[in-house]
Amino acid sequence: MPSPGISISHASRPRSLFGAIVFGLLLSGWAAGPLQAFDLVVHVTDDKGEAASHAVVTFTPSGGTPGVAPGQAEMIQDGRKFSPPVLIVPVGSRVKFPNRDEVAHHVYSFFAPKKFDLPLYIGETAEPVLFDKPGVVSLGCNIHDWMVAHIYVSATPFYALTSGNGRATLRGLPPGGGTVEIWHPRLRGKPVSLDLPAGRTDLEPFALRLRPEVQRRQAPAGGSGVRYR
Amino acid sequence: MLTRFRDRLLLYLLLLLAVVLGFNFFLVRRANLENAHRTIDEDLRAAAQVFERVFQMRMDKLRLGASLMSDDWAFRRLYGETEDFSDPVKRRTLLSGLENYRARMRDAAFLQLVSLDDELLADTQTGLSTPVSFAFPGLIRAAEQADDYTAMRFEVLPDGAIALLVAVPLLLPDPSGWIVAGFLADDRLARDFRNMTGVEVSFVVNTAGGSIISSSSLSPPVRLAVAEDLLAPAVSEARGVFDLSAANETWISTWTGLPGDGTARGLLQRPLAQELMPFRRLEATLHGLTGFTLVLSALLAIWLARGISRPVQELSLGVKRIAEGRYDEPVAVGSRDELGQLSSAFNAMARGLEERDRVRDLLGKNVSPEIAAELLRRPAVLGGEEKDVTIMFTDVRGFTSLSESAAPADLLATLNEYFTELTCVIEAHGGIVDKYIGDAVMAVFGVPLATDDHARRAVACAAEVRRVLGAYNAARAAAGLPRLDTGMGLATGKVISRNMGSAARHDYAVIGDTVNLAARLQDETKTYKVDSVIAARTAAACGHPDWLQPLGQVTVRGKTEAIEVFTLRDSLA
Repeated sequence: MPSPGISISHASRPRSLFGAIVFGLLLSGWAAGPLQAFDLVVHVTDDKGEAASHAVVTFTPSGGTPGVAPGQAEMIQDGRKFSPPVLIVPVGSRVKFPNRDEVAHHVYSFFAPKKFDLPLYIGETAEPVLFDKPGVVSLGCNIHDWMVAHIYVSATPFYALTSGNGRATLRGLPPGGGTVEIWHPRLRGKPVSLDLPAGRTDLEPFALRLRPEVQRRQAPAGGSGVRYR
Repeated sequence: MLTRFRDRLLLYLLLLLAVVLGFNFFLVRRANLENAHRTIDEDLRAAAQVFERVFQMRMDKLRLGASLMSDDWAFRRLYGETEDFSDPVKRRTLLSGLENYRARMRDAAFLQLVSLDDELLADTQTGLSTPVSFAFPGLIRAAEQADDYTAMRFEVLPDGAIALLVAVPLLLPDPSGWIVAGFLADDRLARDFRNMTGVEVSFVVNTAGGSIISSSSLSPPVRLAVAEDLLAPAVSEARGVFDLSAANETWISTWTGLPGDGTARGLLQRPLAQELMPFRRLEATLHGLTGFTLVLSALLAIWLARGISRPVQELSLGVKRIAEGRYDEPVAVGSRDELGQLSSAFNAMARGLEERDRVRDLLGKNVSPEIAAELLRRPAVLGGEEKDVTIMFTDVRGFTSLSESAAPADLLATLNEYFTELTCVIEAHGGIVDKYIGDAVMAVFGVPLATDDHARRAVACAAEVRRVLGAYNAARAAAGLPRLDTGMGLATGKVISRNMGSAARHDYAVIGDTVNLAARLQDETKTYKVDSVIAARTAAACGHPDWLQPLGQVTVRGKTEAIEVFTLRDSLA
């Protein structure tokens, strides 16, 4: 479920019924299993069996990844929080970081695939950032420790985000099998990679080993601490 | 044995006092020991709390420093941009940054940087080295499980030292590594703690072979002795507060846990002697007080005993003096108490006795001893009783001419001699001299002790008087002195004997017609020219007709009837 405030141009999806059919026929001609494109529902839990929301699920077809169309997206700072907490963008997309708070933010990312920082700014003055390499970019604000967000830069057009019930639906997957990858902000190590054999259109619910959430207390706005007279 | 009251009183008092003081001392000592133990127990428990609190504060400070460091933009950038930890320049820079932060955090003995894969990336203790596995993954696991991604615990370093380690995450903004800050629980820290709480502290590592002291505030010899004790499982596994003997001292000890896996512990100790020191001072004071009290009590007892025994001794001497008839030295009255009252009463008694003796003496001189005894024996009340007695009156013939020719002093001496002779004879025959009237003597036979033979005694007395005076006059004649011839009148009859006179003053006397008759008969001796005239009734009662011869009938003055009279036979001389 795309969160409000995000607009992505899903350029990878077939743009017309005709296109879809042609795409499907092409796939079904040389692969076993369903010749039709299919939807894959992935159910992700944590190691306690609780639904894991905000997990990124991607599918990389065995036959090669079709090209992805870069788009534009926004990672909004509002109420001294990033929104959405997890944003998936196709590789090559530009993301804007509009600050709707009345305080400045200093957005940063220290690690590959995208190191950048947007020194203190307010409003829409920050230039959009180009995410030209696939991978996970961890975002923070230098002056607000609790502000954390992640941008998943996807090399494949087939991706989805688990909702509150831990489910994500990958739509219009080409037949012929491929690799399903699951990533979560609290996942230890690299994304989990699952093989989806040709002909399979479903996956067993998958449990991720997640690290506990880091408790970061948000400072109250408009003054805190003890007043002195 | 102790015979003196003073010594016994002293002994009893001191014994009693010694028992009381000894018991008191015992109780105080026991209370002191219990109190010292309790105080140390409380101190140790309080110290254990302070110990925990102090370390919590230290850890909090350390954690705060590490947290500020992990949130520091410059350090984040430094870490974020190091990326390639195999690059020596980047690693040197990172280490240098770490050392810079250690210099800022004065409490931290060392800082370490650990990767998410438990790899030790940088360590201010060892400087640059190839990355190795972090020695305390347990610390990191604990941090991962904690809400705030932070863990603090004591760990034993490879060299046996105990360190307090704090692990905080490096949030960029996701956990990207760990900053581990630590300080050593060394001797200095232990001494700091001792200076703060007054409790000795040792950091102890538990090993399979027993507990080993890692660092301590104890002096080296004590530390060695305690270390030996710790090898015993009983000590190592002791719970609560326990006694430990080391270096000739008793140490009240308790274990206190340290945050961590339990390998490191704290041993808190206080020497019992130190706690007992104020009580020892109290005991010394008590000793002094006990001695002082005993001496004071002894002096008091001596004074008290003397206060009692001296008057008693005085009284005893007084009794002795009185027994010897010495009334002139009264017992000293030193106080107004019971003893004083007793002394006063004793003196009063002595005066009474003296008076009675004097009275008895005077009585004996003025009346016959028998009358005196009777007077003293019976209550002195007026009145009398009727008794049958024989009265004898004697009178000196020619006393008037004698008194004219002799000097009064010589006359008195002569009379005294005469009375002495006469009185002796009268008393020898059981009579009493009732009174001396000038040269006359009135004697009574049959009082105060009633006798049946008073008439016989009186007649025998008259005969004896005749004989004794005969010898007396012979001696006077030989000396050229005039004779003292005596006339005697004897009569028997009823008289009233006893005290007579007024209520204020009374005399012992016998009165009655018989007295008058005897006096008249004495007068008749001049008429008959005999030395004795004896009434018929006396003669009859005498029972010895052979002693008497009749003189005839006589009518005495004041009497109407004539009575027969007798006189002693001439042969009775």
